[in-house]
Amino acid sequence: MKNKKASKNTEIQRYKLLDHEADIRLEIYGNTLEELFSNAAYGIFQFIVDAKGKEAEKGKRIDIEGNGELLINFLNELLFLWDTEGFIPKEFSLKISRNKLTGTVAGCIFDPERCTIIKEVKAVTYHKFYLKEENGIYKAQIILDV
Amino acid sequence: MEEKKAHIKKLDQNRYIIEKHGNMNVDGIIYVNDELFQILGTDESIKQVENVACLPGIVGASMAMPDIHWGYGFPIGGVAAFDVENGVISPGGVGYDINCGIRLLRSGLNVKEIKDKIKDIIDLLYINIPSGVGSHRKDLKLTKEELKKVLKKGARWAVENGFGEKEDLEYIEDRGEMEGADPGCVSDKAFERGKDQLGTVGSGNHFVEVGYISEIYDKDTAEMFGLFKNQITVMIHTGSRGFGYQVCDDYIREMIKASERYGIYLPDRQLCCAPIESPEGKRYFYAMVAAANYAFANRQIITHWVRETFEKIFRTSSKNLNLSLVYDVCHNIAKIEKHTIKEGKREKEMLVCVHRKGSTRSFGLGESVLPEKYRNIGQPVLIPGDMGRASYVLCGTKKAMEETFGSTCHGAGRILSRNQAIKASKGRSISKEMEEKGIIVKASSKTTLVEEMPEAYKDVSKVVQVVHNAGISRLVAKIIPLGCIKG
Repeated sequence: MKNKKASKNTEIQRYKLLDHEADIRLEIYGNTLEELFSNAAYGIFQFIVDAKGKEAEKGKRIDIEGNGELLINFLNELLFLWDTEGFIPKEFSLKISRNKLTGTVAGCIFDPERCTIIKEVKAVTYHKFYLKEENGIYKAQIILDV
Repeated sequence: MEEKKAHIKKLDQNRYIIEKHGNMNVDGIIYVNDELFQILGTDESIKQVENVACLPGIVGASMAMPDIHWGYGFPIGGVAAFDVENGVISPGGVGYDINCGIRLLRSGLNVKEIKDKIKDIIDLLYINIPSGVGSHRKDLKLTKEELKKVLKKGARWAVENGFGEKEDLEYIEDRGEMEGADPGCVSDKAFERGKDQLGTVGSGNHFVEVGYISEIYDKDTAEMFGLFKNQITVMIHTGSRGFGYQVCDDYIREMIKASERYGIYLPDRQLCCAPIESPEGKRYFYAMVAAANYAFANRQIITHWVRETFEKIFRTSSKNLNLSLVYDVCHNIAKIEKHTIKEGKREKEMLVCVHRKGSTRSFGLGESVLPEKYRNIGQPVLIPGDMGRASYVLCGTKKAMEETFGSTCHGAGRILSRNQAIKASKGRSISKEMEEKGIIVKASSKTTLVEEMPEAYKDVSKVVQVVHNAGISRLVAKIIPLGCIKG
């Protein structure tokens, strides 16, 4: 418990890129589940688009049921919004209870003048997925199909 | 790794066997020679061959082709057939890019006639064919009702709407129109994602490439395929785009629950599946077929724009240029096929669901589903390599029918991770290196270019040599790239 409290005040790395021959494998960290979810979304979009030149301009209400894995469902929902609306998530205000996620994601819409596309991520897969708590830090592994 | 290797034995010059152990229902067979096997030793793909062997109703063996590499769930280069009566169908065994595939066009042009025009051709292809994330033609936007027709008719929809010629359809696997598509099994989200992406190449390893035949290995077969030395060819590599990704994701969620309901043991959740004959299995199959037809229509539309590009550059009709289809093959698909299965000394015909995950159909002579022109010889098998080396045309064989459910490799297979590729490319200009080799590359993303650098892949020549030596397809011709557009 002591460790848990201490770690809450510590700035931790958001994600780490691990090797994989064909796809992208990420380990993601968070002091809370909500932080881990935000870091995962942040991490994935670092591979998709560079939108540093744009601020968040609109909010999206997100409601995800934990049918399957909540984290994977959340991330695939963001990929859907990117694919259909060009929505780039920037700031997260999420609440997770049991197997349900609610909240808002603020972001901007892709603008070819101010954003650069990096690559296409087809989906977040379930292969070697884990989400666990270790010494007060939440950790998850995801593999992206690119 | 040592423990895993304890179950692996060399079967012959081109095959290794993973003997059935643990929860495996059948053996695993990997088509590799010693050299390619050494590369395998460092990755997880062997474990993935074993995992697939654990699924219910698998028939024969869990197989992998020499381009095998670590995928998610199934290995890339994986082939697995399941008994229709008691076996399963798995969305992860097809992948997110349903009916990703290759189409090859031949022409009447000789390499000499094109050398000084190649830059103009690539520039114009880049303008005419949307490639890269988010790029699409403003003149092709479909309503939901029209999209439903695409899902049912596939490439025929494209031809009926002015994209290409009726005879093109003859030279596409399943005539570009797989049977059984049901748009009712497709989610609104998939429709939403699919409506703007028809007629787009996409990103990653997808491309449109102009090349020429540098070598002919089998003169008679090449002639039947309409190929000759120094002939200009165009290869198209793309699939069902966001539409397919959504169909796959939707059904993986459903199948995770279904696997639990049917009490199926899953060594990896990405292998989630349902009995082929179950309501969930059928619904996935009908949706997957819809996505496969979307991909056929996609390659057909892109073909039309390739022809328009050549017409503009050469100021003559594509008919005069003889720009016609050699063939179009799927390499991410599940198909219901009849195969002869050996059980000890007995042989029996069986209806199976063949999953080809990064594997190409390689039907040999005599198969009634082949176009009449190829029926007495076997189907063209189209194997792209990396952008700097070569691609190959092979021919399907009877031996593939006997050994691999009529399947062979699909490409080179990655060897470097994307991170390693980025490190290896530091301080280099990949497009300049390509240009020095005489290959013009136009990519919408610099990252794509770096990640797709030739050394990120196994040498495709070594891969096709294995399938040729193993007899599951045979070499016909080699294609050298001249230029390509990438996403």
